[in-house]
Amino acid sequence: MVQTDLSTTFSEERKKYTIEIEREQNDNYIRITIIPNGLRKKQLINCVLIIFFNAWISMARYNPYFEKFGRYSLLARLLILFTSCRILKNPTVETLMIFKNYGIQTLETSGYSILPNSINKRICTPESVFVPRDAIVDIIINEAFVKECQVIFYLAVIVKGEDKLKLLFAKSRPRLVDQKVIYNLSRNCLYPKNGSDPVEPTVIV
Amino acid sequence: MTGLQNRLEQKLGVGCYTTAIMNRSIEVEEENCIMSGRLINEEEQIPIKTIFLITWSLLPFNDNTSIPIDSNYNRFVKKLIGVLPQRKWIIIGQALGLMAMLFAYIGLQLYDEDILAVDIDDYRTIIDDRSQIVTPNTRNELLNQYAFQETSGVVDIPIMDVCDILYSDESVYQ
Repeated sequence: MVQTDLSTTFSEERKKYTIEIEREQNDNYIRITIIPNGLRKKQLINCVLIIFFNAWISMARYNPYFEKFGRYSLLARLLILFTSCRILKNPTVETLMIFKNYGIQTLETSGYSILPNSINKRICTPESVFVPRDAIVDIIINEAFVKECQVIFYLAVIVKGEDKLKLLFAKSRPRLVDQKVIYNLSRNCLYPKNGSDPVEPTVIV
Repeated sequence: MTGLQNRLEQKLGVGCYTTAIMNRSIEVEEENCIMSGRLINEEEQIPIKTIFLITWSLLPFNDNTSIPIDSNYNRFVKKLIGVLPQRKWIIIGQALGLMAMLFAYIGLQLYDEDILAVDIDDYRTIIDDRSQIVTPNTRNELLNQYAFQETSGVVDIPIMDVCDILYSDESVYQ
């Protein structure tokens, strides 16, 4: 637990991921980040896989598969390199930001495995979605069947005017213990119980 | 096996062979039932179908040298093979049944999971067109009348209230 004069940061390591919760004073702003464990290891494995696969393809000089492309064989090989990079991406780091009385924002950060992190930060902009508070009906913990023949708990947001639920932390599925914490934090922050009217957040100097 | 069948053929004839086994087995069954005090059911007898299948599948071939060609038995088998389908159909039928079971247990399950189950971000996971949602005015009414008490009919509490009752608490990481 790291505490400064502005915010407190809490982090806990689970079996598959590490959860980090950063809370500002009076819970004006909460940031929850879920980082999968072994991020660098997975990146290295993906990198090696991509390099070996593409080397195997380009080393076969008279590959009968590429001969039928004629002079576009180099283009086909580049296309395979690009698609393999797109498929074997880094594990996503998901972030949920909650602004008191204003709404929530989700961030999904990922990157290409063969590039270093400094370049990934510039190239890959995280996918961010902001949902204002008046569009949010509620945040729920739901249960449903998934393709792996099991029932899971997951966090979701019911948004007005949308025909699908908005899932929170869909890729790194957190455990129910952490889901409860996220659920309570976000609801207390979005709908504070002490004041019925939404109060303007105080600016910390 | 062939020696036993030869002897049986000489003494009884093949026609009597199956019936003899059946009669003996039924007698044994009856004795067991009387000893244990159970009633004789039709299901407890050995079905004729299985006996027929076993004998049919174990009958020796026509060109077996141990059996003389013009024997009584051989003539009978010739007639039987002329009437019945080929004996490979026994194995084919059993394999077909096994594959049907495999399909029913594994294939239908996978079909259910992959195609019939809706996605997890679908609204059908939380609502139904036949649901009867109760809308209590106060939280106490919800808790006292619906959440922890039996209702007279089938009603559905909204998912927001269910989550509120199940998961919300005030002490969070303090």
